[in-house]
Amino acid sequence: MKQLVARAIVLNRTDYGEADRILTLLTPEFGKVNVLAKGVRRVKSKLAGGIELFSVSQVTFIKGRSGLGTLVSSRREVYYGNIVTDIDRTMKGYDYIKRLNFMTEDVPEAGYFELLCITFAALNDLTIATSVIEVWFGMQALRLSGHEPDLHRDSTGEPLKPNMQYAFDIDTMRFLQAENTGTFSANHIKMLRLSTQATTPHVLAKVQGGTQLCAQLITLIQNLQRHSGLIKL
Amino acid sequence: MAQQLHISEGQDTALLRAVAAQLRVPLTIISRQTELLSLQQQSTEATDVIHSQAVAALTLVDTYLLGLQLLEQSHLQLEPVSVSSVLVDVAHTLDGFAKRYNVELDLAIAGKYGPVMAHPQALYSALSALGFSFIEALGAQPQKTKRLLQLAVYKKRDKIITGAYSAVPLSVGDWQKAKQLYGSAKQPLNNLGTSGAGMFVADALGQAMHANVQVSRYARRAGLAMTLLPSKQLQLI
Amino acid sequence: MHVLFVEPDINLARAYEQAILLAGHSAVLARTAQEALFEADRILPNVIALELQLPGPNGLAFLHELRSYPDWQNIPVVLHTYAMPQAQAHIKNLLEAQFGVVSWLYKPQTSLAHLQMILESHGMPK
Repeated sequence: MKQLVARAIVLNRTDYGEADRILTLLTPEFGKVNVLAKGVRRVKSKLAGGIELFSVSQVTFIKGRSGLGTLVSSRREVYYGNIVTDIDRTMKGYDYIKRLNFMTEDVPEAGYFELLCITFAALNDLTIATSVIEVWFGMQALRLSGHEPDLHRDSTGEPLKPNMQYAFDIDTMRFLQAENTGTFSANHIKMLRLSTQATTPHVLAKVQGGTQLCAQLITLIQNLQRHSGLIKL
Repeated sequence: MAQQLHISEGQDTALLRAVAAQLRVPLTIISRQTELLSLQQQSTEATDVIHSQAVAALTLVDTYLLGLQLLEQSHLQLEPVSVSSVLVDVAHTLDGFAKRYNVELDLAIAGKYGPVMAHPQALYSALSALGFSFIEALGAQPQKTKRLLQLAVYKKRDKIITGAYSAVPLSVGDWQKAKQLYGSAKQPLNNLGTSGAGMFVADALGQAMHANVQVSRYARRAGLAMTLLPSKQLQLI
Repeated sequence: MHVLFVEPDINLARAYEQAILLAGHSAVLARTAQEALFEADRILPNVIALELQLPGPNGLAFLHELRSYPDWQNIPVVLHTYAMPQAQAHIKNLLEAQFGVVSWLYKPQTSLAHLQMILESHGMPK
């Protein structure tokens, strides 16, 4: 049977039988793949192995007929070890994995694999604030799933004005003019635009005042994702 | 307007925070090792002193770290808190330390008052820090001074006041001057014979709860106290 | 009662061990997440006292691995840590719900006697 090779990130692990595990892998070439890893549970004391969380591995597997393949071998390529040295980042890392797993219930694009890789790399960089990563991840997830908000025109169809304050209308996914009461300014909207265009969160982190802007945008980003069905309620 | 203390400003804060966090390690080791000696019935007068000093130092460090964290939060979560319960816990914490300084602790918690809106950990830490400072101050007073520290809570009009009171002389002027000197003088409360660091950190925690520490009098004793708002929640009888 | 202490500081770990032995129980020490998994496999503890701030993979990584095995699902875990619970309030609920953490003890303010009491309350058969 043909052996397939792919880069992979572990999304989930489930026990199978006495000594085996079923791993759910996210790959750029084959999307989400379930493989049986035989005998991995015989030695429980393996925290670090060929397959582990917050790492990208190169795996070789055989595709199964019923949707469950068999893992032949794996070799770790990159391990984002700094994530597990910080409790907050560890929790965020688990959260992003859960969210990716949820988002990719149907056949995912290669973009989701890259999204998770880049997110891990950013979490691994302790100089980048987690709020910046959250905003970038959220906007990228919305973009990939086709639920991006309108960041150029307001609810009346008018171009967004630089001196206006805005509120956000979740139903139309557009900004509403709210001169005296709006929470969002031109800078917030620019940060959201940048989050959609930037290939990594590192770009956002370089913006002066970016960390604070992102901290103020988190609630909106999370609401947008919930509304778009990207986060489980 | 009450003078605001700023313990979270300055470029040295990050370094101080890291040092304070690290100080917890040896202090915790000292505290546990001396407690173990006590459990093994091998403790001595000296190890008891070491234990109580380690506990006092840990409380001060924790209060400082907690104060920094709470002051960084834009919105502090307040909840209904039973002040008398907190004072009982504080008395328990201060007990060993007080004995070392021959200070008697008295709890004045009788009376009808309900819960207050406060941050439970901040309230406990602030009152403990006040307690430790006053015990040290009492220890430094002339021999004939009565060594009694009263932890009290009482109602005044529609507010609830809680604090630490003793024979240590402390006027409103002393406290205001001390807050001005804080950060620049080694002993801003010179007449107390203690740096009073715990009092300043308690004040910072009080600020976070909108309840600055102020000079107060209770049962003919001077002290420092916080004024808290009663919780509007219905009380269970 | 067998207690597994996951504690990186050897002096503290020994103090806990001695206190638990004095109370008539047994204790095993582990300084890292890796060692803790090895010891859990070896002795199957009744309760685990866990410091979150470990060298290398932290206590969360340990919990994630621990709970991935069916025979370790029900071991109660007591956090005994320098991490202040009020500073981690946003993950406290997650730890309780997802990882079966039964108690959060702030290490500097937890006496040996109190630690013993909490471990006994969760680790002794009812």
